[in-house]
Amino acid sequence: MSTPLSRRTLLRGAGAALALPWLEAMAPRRAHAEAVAPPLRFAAFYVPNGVRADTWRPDGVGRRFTLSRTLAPLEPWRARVVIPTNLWNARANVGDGHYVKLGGFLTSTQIHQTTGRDLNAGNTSIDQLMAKAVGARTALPSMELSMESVSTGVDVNVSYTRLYGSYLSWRSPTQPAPRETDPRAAFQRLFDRGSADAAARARRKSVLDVVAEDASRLRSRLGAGDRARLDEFQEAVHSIETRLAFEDEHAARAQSAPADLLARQSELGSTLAAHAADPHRAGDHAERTRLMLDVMALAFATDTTRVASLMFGNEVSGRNFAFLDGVTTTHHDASHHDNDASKLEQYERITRWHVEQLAYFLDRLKSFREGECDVLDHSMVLFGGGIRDGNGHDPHDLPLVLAGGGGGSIEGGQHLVSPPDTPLANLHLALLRRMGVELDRFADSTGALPIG
Amino acid sequence: MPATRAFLAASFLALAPCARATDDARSLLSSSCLPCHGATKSKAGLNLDALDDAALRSAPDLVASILERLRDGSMPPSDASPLALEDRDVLIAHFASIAAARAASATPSAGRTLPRRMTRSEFRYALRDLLGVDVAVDAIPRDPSGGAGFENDADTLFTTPLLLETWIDTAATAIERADLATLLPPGREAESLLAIARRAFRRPLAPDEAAELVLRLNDGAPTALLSILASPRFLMRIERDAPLATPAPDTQSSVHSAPVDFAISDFELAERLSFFLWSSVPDDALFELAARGALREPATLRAQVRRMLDDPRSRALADEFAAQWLDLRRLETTCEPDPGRFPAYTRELRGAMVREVTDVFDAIVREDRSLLELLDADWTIVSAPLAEHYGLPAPVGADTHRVQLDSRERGGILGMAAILTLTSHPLRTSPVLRGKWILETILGTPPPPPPANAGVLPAEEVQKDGLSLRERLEQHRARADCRSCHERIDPLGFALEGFDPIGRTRTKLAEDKPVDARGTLPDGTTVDGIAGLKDALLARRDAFATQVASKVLAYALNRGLTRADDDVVRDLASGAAWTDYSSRALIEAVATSVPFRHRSPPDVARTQSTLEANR
Repeated sequence: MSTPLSRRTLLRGAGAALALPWLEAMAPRRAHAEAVAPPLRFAAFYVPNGVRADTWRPDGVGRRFTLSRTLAPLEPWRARVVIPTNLWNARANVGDGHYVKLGGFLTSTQIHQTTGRDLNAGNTSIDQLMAKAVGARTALPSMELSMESVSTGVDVNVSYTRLYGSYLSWRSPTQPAPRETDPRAAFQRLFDRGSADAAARARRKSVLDVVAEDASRLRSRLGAGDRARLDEFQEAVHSIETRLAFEDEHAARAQSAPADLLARQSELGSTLAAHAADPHRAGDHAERTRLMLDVMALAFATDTTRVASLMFGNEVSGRNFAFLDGVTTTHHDASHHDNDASKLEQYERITRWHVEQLAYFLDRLKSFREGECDVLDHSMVLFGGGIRDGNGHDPHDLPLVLAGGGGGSIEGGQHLVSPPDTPLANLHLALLRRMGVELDRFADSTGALPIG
Repeated sequence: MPATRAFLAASFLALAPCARATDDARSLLSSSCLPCHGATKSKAGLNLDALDDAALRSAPDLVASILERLRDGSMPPSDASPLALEDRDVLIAHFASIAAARAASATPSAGRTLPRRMTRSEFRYALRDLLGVDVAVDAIPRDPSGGAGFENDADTLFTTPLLLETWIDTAATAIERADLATLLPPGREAESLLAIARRAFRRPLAPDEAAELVLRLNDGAPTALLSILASPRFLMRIERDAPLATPAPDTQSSVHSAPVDFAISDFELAERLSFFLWSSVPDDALFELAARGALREPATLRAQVRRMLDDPRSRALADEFAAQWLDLRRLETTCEPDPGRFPAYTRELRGAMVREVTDVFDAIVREDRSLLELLDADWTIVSAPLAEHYGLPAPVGADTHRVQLDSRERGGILGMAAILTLTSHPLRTSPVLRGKWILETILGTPPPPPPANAGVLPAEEVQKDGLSLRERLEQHRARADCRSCHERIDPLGFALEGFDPIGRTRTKLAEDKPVDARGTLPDGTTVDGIAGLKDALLARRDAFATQVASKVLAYALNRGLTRADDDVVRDLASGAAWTDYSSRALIEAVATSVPFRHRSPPDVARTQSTLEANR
């Protein structure tokens, strides 16, 4: 084979673009090193409101450990998970109970206290740094998802804008990444892009040319302080242009997709359509979450994106979890348990439900074969939250799970206990480096966490 | 005049009436403040002994920070002897009157907003007005909202690839659906295209700009239109620092006109007006007045406001301003009554609930009714599902209809199911949330934050220990650090206990306990049920007017308000009282206010925001 195959192809008959899974032969020859290994993916999952702390920590240290009650759903995945213990973000040990904790989860910094003006997370989040490094190789550089809409207004209790409670991913220190909250819309964004015919695509490209020119002309007439907003606009134009160019380049070398992936994609498309059409099911949190996880897994398997983040809820989420057996309350309420036995029990059930979602996602990734391995082998999945025990908003010893093989760079099956108050940034640094973001340090890191 | 101001400020700042004289404040000052901030001990470098009222008047930042610490309860600190709630209010009123009196020496600034993109709603309305098609904008991500709680706040309107992409797709869809033969009639394509571009860009076109657009017709009308609707000239709202017209001396208000601020151009004024009142682009009438430089004439400006309010497009004030001010968006997002417990709460009912609030607000503006009818009215507007929910006769034929009410249960937003639902938990009502919502949204006096170990109330109405919510809250109030706030919050919320979590009237709580809707406000007024609550709020109409004025102003200016806006808000609120709270008079006053017609140059604005940051 003299010409490398495309990873992505257009199925004009079906009227939809399908991203192909990684195949060795598709890797461009110039990227020789990459051609040897399938791509690495990163997913971050955020659980708001902390976890029931006394039933989280595994028994035993290192490779000899027993999973706790809360982590029990991970038993089948024992060999593929690392449970990091004793990490924290020192800079989140101030401010308020929730917003500072979430704001620093992927940035290891401290958000600036504001009611709306001067929004600042202090850093770009690690997923976005990764997207900048590897995003150009996929149709979408990254994908940001959440199961809850943006919370608005100001939390006057603590003088923070509620926006901070809604964003895990930061494109830049001052710009949160907007999230998609509807599984079907996420699916369409990933997989329905190529449906436009050639003429429509050409039209969009020519429009972008005009728009880019307009933006730079407008920008040149503005004062320095006002230019940032036009910079943002130009960056958006540029990023869409890059993506269209990517699609063109790969569409030109169209190949047919493996039938099984195509079948799974169209099956998920129909499930989502049916779900959206049924008003009784549309509000079902458990089902919506599963569908979102399905979409994420398919996005990784098809190499449509390699970086994704999902928030199970906004911080301070008052979601009603009465759909779980034995739970009659809301998430935030259960988290302030005051050591009441019944509340603790409910808190644990809610926490465990989130762990079950992680297990489900791992199962989805594993179901996609990739050469001799599966997609989970080539993924890094970070799961957890910025609060340990929600009752006192404790930021020490964060509840964390790291899953996936990291392309052979992560050694699963261990309870990795660090010295107390080891920077969370050490884990960030370890993940960033694996994704090709070469940094000596990240935020307050003191070294890369030994996860491999 | 200063006396009126001080009185207004006092009633705005404190729930309890503050009739006590300055002497009281002086003696409280020496007993509660001077031990730490006096001549002997001057913690944080503050010696109040050395500062008389005149000295304080010339230190507005200091007064503001004292007020802030008093209001949020952080002064006196917890290790000092506590200050009774009434005494705290006396001190707050004292410092507030000093703050109010400094107005004459202060230099108000018109303020400044960053260039900002349109909101999702504005984009939809603008496409409707330019192309005559109303397209769904669901694909575009929802807008967050800024400090004042409005989506149009320039500070939080970021532009991202996802947004731009969905804008372009949505505009392309709108163009596909538009009737191009009418929009661009054969033989007059160029001329019609330029007219659309002028409206979309809200200004006249430069000759080369126009020539370029006409050339683009060679690629087909859809492409030419899309190049207008995807352009930042349409999507971004940018105001220029160099005013197109010379800064005119302000004839309206000699007190507030600041020499550093300049009047915005007539086209920018037309744009601010149309985005304020219609959430959309200006129409031809506004454009022509702006082109003649006539819009800035006060009489013309007022006449235009009246014309625009009569126009159906002013419905956006209800669907955008009122919906966001009153938090209605939360009904579509995070607020979820338990579906098992409340099967009656369907999407249809939720829509009908929202519709009642926006319909009533729209009627109040359209018919120039009193803003106080938001607090209490003997009428409301319901659709069939809501009439059934309320147990009112179902409307015949019409989509919605106005009903005359016999009792005071409904009528006014506090008796509206939308408000009662969004201030409840999934499984029970929340007197705390309801009370806090009233303090924050209606009176503009949010309670300070709870202490870290405040605890959380149970999710259900009755817990295993058999305590009712009221009993549990009473326990909570026994704690000194909780009492001062819950004394303000709880009675307001308990007055609404006659309504269940989805706003139905009830006489029994869970486990057949009877509803108890009684409470005593901090000033001693006793309230029993919604009628008493309405009376109590009507008695605080000044605070309410101040709150509405500041919300309308923030919405109109697309920014959060700062202390530099305090005087304008105060004038708007007292103006509202003089016009019997006429809704239209308030909107006109905002549209003709100094900050609405002016803009601060960059350096002044920077100084202002630095001041804010240092507060």
